[in-house]
Amino acid sequence: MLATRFTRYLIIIGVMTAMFAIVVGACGGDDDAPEPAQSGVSAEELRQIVSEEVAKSQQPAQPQVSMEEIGAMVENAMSGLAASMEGVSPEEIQGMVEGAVAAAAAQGASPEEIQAMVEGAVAAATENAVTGTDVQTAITQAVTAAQAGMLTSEDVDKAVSSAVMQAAEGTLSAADVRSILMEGAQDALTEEQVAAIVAQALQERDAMMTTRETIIFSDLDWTSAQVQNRIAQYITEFGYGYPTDVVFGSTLPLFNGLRAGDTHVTMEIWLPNQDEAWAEAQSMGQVVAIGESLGKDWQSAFVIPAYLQEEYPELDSVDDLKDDQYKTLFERTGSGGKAVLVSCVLGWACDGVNTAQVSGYGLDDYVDILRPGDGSALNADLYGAYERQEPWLGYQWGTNAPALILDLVRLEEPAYTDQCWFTTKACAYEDATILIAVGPDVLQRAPDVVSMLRNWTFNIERYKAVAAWANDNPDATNNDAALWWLKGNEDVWSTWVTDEAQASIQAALASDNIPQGWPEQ
Amino acid sequence: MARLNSMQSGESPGPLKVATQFVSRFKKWFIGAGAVLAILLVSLIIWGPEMQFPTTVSTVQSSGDSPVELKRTVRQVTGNAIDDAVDWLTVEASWLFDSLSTAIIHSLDTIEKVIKWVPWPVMVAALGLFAYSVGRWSLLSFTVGALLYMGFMGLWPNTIDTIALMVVAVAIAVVIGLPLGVLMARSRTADNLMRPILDGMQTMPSFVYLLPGILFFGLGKPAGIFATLIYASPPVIRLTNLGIRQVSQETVEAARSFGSTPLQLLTKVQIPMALPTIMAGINQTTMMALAMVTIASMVAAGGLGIDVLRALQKNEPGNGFIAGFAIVFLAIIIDRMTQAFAQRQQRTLSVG
Repeated sequence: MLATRFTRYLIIIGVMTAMFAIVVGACGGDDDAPEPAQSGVSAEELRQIVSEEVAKSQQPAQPQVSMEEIGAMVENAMSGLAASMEGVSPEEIQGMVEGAVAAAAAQGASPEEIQAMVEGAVAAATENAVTGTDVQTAITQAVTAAQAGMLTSEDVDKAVSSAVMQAAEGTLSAADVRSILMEGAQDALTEEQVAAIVAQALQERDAMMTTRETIIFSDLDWTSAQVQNRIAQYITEFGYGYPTDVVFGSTLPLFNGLRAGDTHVTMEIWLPNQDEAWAEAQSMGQVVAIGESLGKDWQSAFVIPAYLQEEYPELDSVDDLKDDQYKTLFERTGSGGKAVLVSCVLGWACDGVNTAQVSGYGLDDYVDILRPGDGSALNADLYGAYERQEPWLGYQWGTNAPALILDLVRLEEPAYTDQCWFTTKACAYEDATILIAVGPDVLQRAPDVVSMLRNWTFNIERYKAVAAWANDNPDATNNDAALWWLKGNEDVWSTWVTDEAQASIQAALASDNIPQGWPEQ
Repeated sequence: MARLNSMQSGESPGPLKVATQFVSRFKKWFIGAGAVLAILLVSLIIWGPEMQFPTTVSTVQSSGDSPVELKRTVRQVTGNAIDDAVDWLTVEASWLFDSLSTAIIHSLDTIEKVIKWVPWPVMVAALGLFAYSVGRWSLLSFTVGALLYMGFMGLWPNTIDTIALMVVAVAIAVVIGLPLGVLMARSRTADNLMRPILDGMQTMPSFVYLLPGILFFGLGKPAGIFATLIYASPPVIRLTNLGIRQVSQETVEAARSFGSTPLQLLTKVQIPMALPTIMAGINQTTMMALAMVTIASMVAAGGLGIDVLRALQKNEPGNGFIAGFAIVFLAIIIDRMTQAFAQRQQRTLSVG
């Protein structure tokens, strides 16, 4: 019995060995490579492919189109339009032309193709009813007329708002708006008549208020976005009479929500982090940028706690990490004697960038990269080390909570250049641009809110004040923080809103009203 | 007709009696409904409809130029107390967590190094032979096929990490779980005390204890083991308890009458007889440990969860399924192997 059993085992071993031999032979015969699937390409070949790709991406962006040609095209388009300009402002044309040229050049289009595209875009825009810039142009013209003494500025204000309301409802085209205003301005209407138009428009607007659809804000899962949402919600509800609501979530789902029209306003779209998704959504016309929030001075960077730098004052740049004492300082069990650098979340774009940066700075032999699977895990690791006042080295970005709450110091890195970014990435992150974005339908149905958001100037200094206050008042929710800021900064937000809206927001603040759309926390 | 009438009046109880019977039978219900109605009326009169729970403990004025009134809620007070406790533990017990984490990492490292040192064909063959020795041809072919799938999909290093993580987690779970299960089987108090704790361990959403886990251990494998232990150790505890309780009273008395000491009773009679149930518990613990692979990867514990997470973050369902199936295959292999092993054990036990 035992003998026959043994033979079977021997046969199995024999068969398996033969199979392995065949498989391994077929795969190139590197016995100890755990991933034979990759053995088709040698390191040399790989390197060559990479360098070719890099060379490709380094080629000048528009090899077939000279600046003169582009200039000629733009002028051509502008002059062709000047005669029949109906609904498009010069700024928009310029924007369109630039966009088209950049897009076309990236794909290697010829000058003729680009020109055709530009003209097509301009024609399409001309047929379009109203855009924000249009209205702005109309307003400027009206104001010019007023300055000429034909209307009082109040009249103009009211006439403008009525025209804007009608335009938003789609009953008037941009051209109509403009002609009404010009008529009014050029003494075709008396002040009484204008006032009548205005009164009617206001009545219509009051009627509209009751049937207005809710504006839904994307409640991104970090504090600055939520505080900005609360402030914008307060202004939207009490200043302009739209009901508001929020949908809570993380970056990617909420961006998809904005594209699909499930949410309507996102106060923070981080570029270049979201470059790809943003460009795609924008080219499909699913999102529209209407301004910037927070300003440009927020970076993603490698940081250490401030208490650590006090202890090691000479550690102030990534280059300093090439010192064996820091290997042991940041070492953790299992890191193989190297310093542990906590990178950004696994699978995020920044994870790839950080890995390239570490290699680019020549830190591969000094640093072991640890990748958390979630943003909260990354933060918790930093909080834990901070609590114990232990050494910590890792990645933090802009408005992430620890970056605001804790005292962290950025390690110096070589300054950002396009050239390094698109090749080795051995330089710091580019300063972030943070856009305010809305769905295209919001332009139509809530033009007043859109123009408020266009004036948005909640910058980083303002947010830092809020964060500091929240740190002093641990019981405060984001709602409280927004309320506190609105109460103390009327001089700031009043520049974003119309006089009427300002008055009603003041009234709401005085009577401690809370927007219905604010979530509990 | 007349007969029918007389029957009804003669034999059925009077309406009054029916009513009193009905009332006395549902007395409790009537009292309850009355009480609810009374509470409803009183609260409607005093507080009106759409009443909210009072959650505010106190209000404080915020700092700053234009102060805002801040509510301090019951939840904030409770939450802050727990936060303080966690913070205190983080600092004061760091020596304990540090030494635990060093021990865990060293044992994991050793296991990983050994498995990675062995050439993969040997590893596959060894596991295949083990599968054949405890099971049948089908288990052998499945094991070999699944392992080759992991290898050729480029998941081999992470599979090894996962296996090492599970071996250590299950070993710790057994070391902690067996004595706890025995204790529960022997003492009713321990049983009553442990039961809700085990329920909590199994149902508490893992992120809730993951965060303190990271605060205590930092990112890495120890935090992953910590989370896995909390989620996966209840079955081995529960089933050890059950297995020992299931040993028949006659057997125990027989052993006693032969003069065996309590220790002998436990190690020579109760545990061997409960072994199939205990093995089922270990099997369950292993399966649940595998289910935590993705969660463990969130705290940078490595393993196949990394591939799943990366696929999720990058919106690549294909890669997600590839890594997901690797986890499923690993689970099936381990499940079938431990089951077959347990059956074999039982057979030898009953024969011997």
